[in-house]
Amino acid sequence: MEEGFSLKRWLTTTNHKDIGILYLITSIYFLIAGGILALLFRVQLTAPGMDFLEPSKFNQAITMHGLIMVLWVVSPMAFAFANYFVPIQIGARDLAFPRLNALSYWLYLFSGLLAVSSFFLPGGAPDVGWTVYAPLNTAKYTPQPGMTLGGLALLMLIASITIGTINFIVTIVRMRAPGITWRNLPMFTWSILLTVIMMLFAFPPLAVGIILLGADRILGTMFYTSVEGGDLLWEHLFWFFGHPEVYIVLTPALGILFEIVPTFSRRPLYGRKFILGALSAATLISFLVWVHHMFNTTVNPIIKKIFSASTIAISLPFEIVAVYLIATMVGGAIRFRTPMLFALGSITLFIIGGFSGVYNASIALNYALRGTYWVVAHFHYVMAGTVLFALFAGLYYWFPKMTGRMYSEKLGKLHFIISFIGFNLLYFPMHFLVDMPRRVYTYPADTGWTIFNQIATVGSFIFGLSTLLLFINLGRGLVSGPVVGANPWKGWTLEWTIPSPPPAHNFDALPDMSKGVLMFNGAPMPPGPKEHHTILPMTLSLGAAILFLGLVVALPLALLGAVILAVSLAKWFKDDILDRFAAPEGERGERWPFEGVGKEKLGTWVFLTSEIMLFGSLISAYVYVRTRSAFWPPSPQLHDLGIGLLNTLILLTSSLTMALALEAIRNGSLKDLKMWLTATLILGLGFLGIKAFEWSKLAAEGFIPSANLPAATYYVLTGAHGVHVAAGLVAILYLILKARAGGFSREDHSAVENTGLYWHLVDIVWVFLFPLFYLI
Amino acid sequence: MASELSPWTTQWMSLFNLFTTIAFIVGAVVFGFMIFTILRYRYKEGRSEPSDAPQPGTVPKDRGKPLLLFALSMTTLTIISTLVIGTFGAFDFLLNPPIKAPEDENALVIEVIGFQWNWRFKYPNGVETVGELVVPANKVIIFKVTSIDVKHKLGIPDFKIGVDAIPGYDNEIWLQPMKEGEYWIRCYELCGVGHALMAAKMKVVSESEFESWLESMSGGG
Repeated sequence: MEEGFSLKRWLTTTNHKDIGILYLITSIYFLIAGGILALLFRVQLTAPGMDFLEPSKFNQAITMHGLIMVLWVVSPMAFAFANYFVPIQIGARDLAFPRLNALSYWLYLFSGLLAVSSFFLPGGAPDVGWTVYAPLNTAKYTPQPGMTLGGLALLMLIASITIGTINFIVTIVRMRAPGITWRNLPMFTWSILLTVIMMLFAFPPLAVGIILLGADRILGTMFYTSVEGGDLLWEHLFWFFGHPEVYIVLTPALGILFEIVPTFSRRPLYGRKFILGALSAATLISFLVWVHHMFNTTVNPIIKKIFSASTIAISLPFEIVAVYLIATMVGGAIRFRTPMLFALGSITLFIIGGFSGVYNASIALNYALRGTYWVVAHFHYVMAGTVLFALFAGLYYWFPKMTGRMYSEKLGKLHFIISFIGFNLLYFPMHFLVDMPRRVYTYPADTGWTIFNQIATVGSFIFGLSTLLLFINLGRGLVSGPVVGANPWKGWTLEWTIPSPPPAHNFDALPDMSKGVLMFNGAPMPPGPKEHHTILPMTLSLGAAILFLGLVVALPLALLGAVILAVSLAKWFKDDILDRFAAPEGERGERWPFEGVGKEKLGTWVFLTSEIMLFGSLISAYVYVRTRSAFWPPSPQLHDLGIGLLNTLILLTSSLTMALALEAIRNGSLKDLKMWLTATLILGLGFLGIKAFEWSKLAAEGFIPSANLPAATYYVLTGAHGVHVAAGLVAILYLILKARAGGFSREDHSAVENTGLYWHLVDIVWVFLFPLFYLI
Repeated sequence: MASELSPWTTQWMSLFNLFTTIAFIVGAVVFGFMIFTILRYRYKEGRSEPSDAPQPGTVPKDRGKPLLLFALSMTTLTIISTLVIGTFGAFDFLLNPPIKAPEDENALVIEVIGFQWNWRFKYPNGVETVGELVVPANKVIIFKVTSIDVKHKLGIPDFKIGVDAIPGYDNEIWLQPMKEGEYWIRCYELCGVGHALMAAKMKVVSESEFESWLESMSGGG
């Protein structure tokens, strides 16, 4: 940390370790916010008929508690460690795209602040539960602007997560030092890789769910107010995201345990390959269990049975993980330092939470369990217990590495004992509240629920306040803790081979693990970019936040936000044209299976995968409402085939000109490149112009988004596509500017190629939309 | 069983007990293994490091035999199959009410309509009640559950039964209450500020009491 602690440094940093620290502090801030909300509603539930929080405030508190904890605390805290330690564990200087990493962070911070600020709008924050069920989430039942703002904040967070996903996949695939093969990759890094893969596929459906909700709330469409869409459409989209999300939260926590348990029991992880196999299987199955959240709905019984069986079966891989963690300790010399205590606590809570989960998975038991405190007990044992205890374990484990100082072991142990007791007092009694509905602000006195609620409330304060010990301990450690060396725990991974805290560039020379032992063969680290500081990720995110806030509260504010956003983007392009942040990839180790793919291109592919998920979900939603509609006029009756054909022709031609642009620069001709790019730009503009003409014509005929579902699906799907075309045109404009500055050559033109890939995908999407809206 | 609430409740309870029994057995084994390991292999003064202890910058050896995986998977699959079979049995029981046809004279079809924030019950003869459901004991009651506004979940906790009330859909569930008495019906899906108070009473009465109640209701209307 040779750069000192100035505010400017923290606002402009692109260093992965700085950003890790920022993620950590921010996630702790949101942890405190979400925790205080929980204490508030626990007070309300202390006794029947309490008058501490009125119903609407209570509902806001539980909703925001859930959203904040799931989306803005547990995952980001894991990604604080991922930011800090994944590049070090693979022997890299930084993540593949440091500026995008900063952008991920700032989008995360501002999205969280945006969500929290919804409390201060008239009507308050979202109050419909973190699962945001339809049609309660629509404007008719939840008119407050805070609900819309919450949705926009979530979209911003999804942008942050998608960017982070691309960054981590490319980093882990392409930036590993020699000898850090897949086989030698540390388990924490493995867990992050599996997590980001799940994120890549899980978040686009949620984005689509929110986009449709936004259309309902802002444009007056009827995706969730109609019977054809309604509750079931939301639940399919939400839970296709929502169940993998549980494993997205869990997997990094397990990754931390895989590091800590071997280190403190002094034995290698037992059955490493089998654990990886089990986790990979769970990653896959996590996408095949979502209907278990819908067992009480009208979904077909056969489908319910399949999902019930798959959900019970997913306990197998996790059982293997738990047993293998315990088996790791056999034959060891276990030292019960604070990180190990939290790890053991995490495993204990994981087993208990696993058991109660199997009950929920049973479609028969589920008829009485869904919507009760049994479910609350279950997912808190997993999401709050297993995950938070593992994250605390990670915090104690890596604290000396990040600060160079040690905390007080005595206070740490005290924190563990008190928090473990508090946690179980809080959540174990909920297993006995198997008849009590979730999310009720009060309950009758004659039900026998009072005593369990009172124990839970006492437990909640013990658990909540115990966290103060953590803050005191780490605060004291940071200021006056004893200085530690590189490796206080005798861990094997690379972060323990460099000083505590690590230098900004991590390694003085390129690490080599080819022989299974760390060696430095004299090869230098690949050079980093010329610049390490930029304010633009912060201003860009700030602009987006102001834009979203303005859309909900005051349009002039939105304009201001849009200007900040546009200026930041333009300056970002300028930095790129001047190559201020470019860094060659340099020689690295194994890159299988993407040897021949540059990091920008791999990043583009990953991004396109998320785009395919996005449009796949949009088209699925369309097919869903259309097949459920009793009457749906055939497309030729609604839309002018001639216009559709013309636009298809234009867009396909633009794919050709884009391909010719790439061909031109491959032949080294900047002049031809500029010509073909300009042609593509004009064709794209033509497409949008014709689209605008078509829309205005339809709107004049009364075919507006709120008219009916055929109209709603048409505007939302072609609108989403149009936004992608517009974004592509911005990218092409950037290419033209860079070409004018002579920024491309026969050898160096990856931006042209990658924009081309994106452009072709957008065209392919149209090839799917065209028949849906003009032919059938 | 003379004292049973309903055949389904008995099924549910025995399935719950099966899950709990297995959870306790597996829990005892796993936690036993964990506690034993922690106590047996804790670090003691003078205890030397295992020979394969993690060393800085050294990739740990792979260990772990497929045997444990095999044994673990087989045991778990056996348990999973038991749970799945039990679950499917109970589920099939719920899918097949013990009546010949919907118009069976032993069945009573009641439409249940959730709204913000109570329940409306419609009897076949047109009688409607709000917040109070009266049903005859020993008869198969078929609930057709729906909602006119947002999603709710009809739950009768004592009977261990419940089903979602979704606008636009009839969600069917049946119950054969055997024991006369008063029971709570509650909403189990967050449905707005009145969610906590969305409760109704279910009165299970004798067949003759039910007939006279229904008559008084239709006569009064």
